[in-house]
Amino acid sequence: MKRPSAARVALAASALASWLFTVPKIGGVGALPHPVGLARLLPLEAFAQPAGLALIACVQASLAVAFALRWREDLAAAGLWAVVGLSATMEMSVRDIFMPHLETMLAGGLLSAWIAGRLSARRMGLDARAGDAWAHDMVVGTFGAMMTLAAMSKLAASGLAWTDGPTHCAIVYEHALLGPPGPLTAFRAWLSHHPALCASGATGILFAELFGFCLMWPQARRAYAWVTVGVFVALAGALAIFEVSWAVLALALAYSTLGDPAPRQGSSGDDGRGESAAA
Amino acid sequence: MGASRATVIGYAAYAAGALVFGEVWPFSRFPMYAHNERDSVVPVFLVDGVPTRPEAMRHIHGCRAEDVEVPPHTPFRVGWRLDEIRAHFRREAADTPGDVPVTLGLAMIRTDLGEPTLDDQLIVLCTGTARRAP
Repeated sequence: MKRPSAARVALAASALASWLFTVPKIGGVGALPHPVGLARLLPLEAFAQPAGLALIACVQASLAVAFALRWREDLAAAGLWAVVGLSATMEMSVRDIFMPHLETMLAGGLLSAWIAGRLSARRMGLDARAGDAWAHDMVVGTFGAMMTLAAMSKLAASGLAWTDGPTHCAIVYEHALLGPPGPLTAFRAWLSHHPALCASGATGILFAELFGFCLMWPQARRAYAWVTVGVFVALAGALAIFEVSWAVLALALAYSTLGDPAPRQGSSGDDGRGESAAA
Repeated sequence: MGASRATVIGYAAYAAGALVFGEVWPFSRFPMYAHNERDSVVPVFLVDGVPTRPEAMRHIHGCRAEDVEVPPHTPFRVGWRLDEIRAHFRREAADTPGDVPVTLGLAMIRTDLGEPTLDDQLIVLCTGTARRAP
């Protein structure tokens, strides 16, 4: 049995989590009142029933394990992609929203890149190891694009005014006021009264996202991964936005590989691409 | 060392897909926090005139999940909290009155003083009664 790499486990877990996050939002509804996409064409209501939700959870878990362990991985990746797409369709059809949970977007986008990378590597005639490295890099590029697009949307909608301190303080204040009382409530209340800090945080997050293109340079990946971790830790601390997979995948893609992990060796040779260095 | 070609392709392909197709899974421009409006209302639940978390109350009578609606053209960004309150009202719906008066309303967060404060004016969504959770 192949040892699964950290990046592969992280992507499989993200795909599985996308369904697990979707279930509470659509569970018990039993119908799709605002059908979008495939839900308009196919009777997907059955999957919104408890038995359907459980069935999909079992299928998704099996596919995630198969993908992580590279058992019929192309089939497993395609299956995972389809079920994540089903999550997106059902969540949007129940909640009448324009985009599903961020976990669903992340897993869907990265799995799409992995599948496209594998197909294109095969067309180019790359061997298995080089093909894995090619597909891994396409996934990394897609992650960077997602980050940059988030910043571009903010700049397009609000310009640099998006970083306005009092506005972000008001948002932090909302979370201090409305979130369940916890260890961070006092911190959020304190932060909400410091507009300069709120503006600094917002500016940092905006530019961190904007610089997602840095992932194109392998030697910058690890540094950018830690910047991404900083972004999501700040979002969790200030706004109770917990997107663990984004931080974990940033690290996993920088330090690990979606291909086969290199055999453990005592050497410290490293070109900044971690386990994908051998490719 | 230059940029990785596959990474550039992955980056460009996803960005192009998102720009062309917009919000069509698996593409997105991730616009969810792009519009930040300063003014926004938040739900306020008063128990005997004192702001309290709705979850601290049981057997809620007179305030229904259907009442938890933000009037048109009222800025707000805490749909998640309204969903939680609706769910709590649904779970704790009672047919008989409770022993303390409750009011659910919306209050504007004021930022004109530099630091956020809750406006005194309340947009009342419903009034009723409830019992304190043991």
